[in-house]
Amino acid sequence: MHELLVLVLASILTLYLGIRYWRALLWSASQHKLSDATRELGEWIDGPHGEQSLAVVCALLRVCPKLERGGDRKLIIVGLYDRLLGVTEKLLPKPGGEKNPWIAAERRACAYFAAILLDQRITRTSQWYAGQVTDSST
Amino acid sequence: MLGPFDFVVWLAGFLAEVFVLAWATHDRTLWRHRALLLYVAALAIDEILSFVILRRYGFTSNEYIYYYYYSDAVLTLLMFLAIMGLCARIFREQERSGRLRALTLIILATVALYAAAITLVKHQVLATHFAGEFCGGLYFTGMVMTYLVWVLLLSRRDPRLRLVLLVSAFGIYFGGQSAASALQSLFPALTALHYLSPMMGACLPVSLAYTFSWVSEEARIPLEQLAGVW
Repeated sequence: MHELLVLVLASILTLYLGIRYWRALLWSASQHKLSDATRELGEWIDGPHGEQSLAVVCALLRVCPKLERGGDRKLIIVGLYDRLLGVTEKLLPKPGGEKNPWIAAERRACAYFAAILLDQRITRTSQWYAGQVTDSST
Repeated sequence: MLGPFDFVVWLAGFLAEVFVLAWATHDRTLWRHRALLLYVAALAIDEILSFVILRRYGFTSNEYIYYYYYSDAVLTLLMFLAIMGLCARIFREQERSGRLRALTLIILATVALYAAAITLVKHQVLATHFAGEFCGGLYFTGMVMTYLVWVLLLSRRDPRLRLVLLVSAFGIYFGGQSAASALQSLFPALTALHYLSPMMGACLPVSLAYTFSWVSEEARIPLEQLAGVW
């Protein structure tokens, strides 16, 4: 009986703090400012249909040259979270077709996170090309 | 016998601990979290010692079992010091710190007595059982303590992101270990449960490494960003 009580209490508190931790983590990751190259993308994400923009940002990421090896693990996790939110939104529709503001904000944060990754990739690629140009001229 | 999975989990935790300590020598602002750094240093030493004992005596030896449980109990006590350090950092900026401190100390003492009472009532004479039960009690106490620290954090209007991440990481660790401990008591035959505890143990230093290296001391998270689900 004692173990069962501990299990229930611990599970509830772990889940509660887990959600809070995830939110803080996502928030901290999306606090980096975007450079000029992706600023318009950031404005679009903040716009009225910004919560559905993750797919577009991911498509842009795919066409952007990638210098580093390995997959975007962070993006996979965020993509899964975005999908989970999308499914939740479909399962819990609001009367009148209104959007759930919390889900919309979370999905925007996911898209913003991907935009930061894109921004970092563009910066890195630009620096690399700049280095190549300098090398060939010397 | 330990498999590749155990080794990877152990290595991930150990590397994260070394990273945190190395980062602390580079970033002097982390010395504010002295108790936390002491805990991480103890963790790193424990990883090395447990590896040596494991190699010398084997996984099923009495030496390793005794070392594991007692070092775990000592580490958990050191972790309490780390949480008290976090608590002190929050109290330092609370206006009514005196009353809150007294209230927290009363609650902490009650929970600690509860953990000790449960251990004394339930433990058998075997020392490892005592250590195991004591650890379970400590995890539960730690979970309650961390939740209290979390409530204190939320009582501020602008919680610091670093503290939010540290406290919630500790809460997840203690809660997860308590749940794993309870599950092991309820279903002792379920071998898959034995992976839970080391995984939780590796996640905490990884989380500390992320927080210290990526999140600045000045970063603050608005309260409405944390609320909204429940």
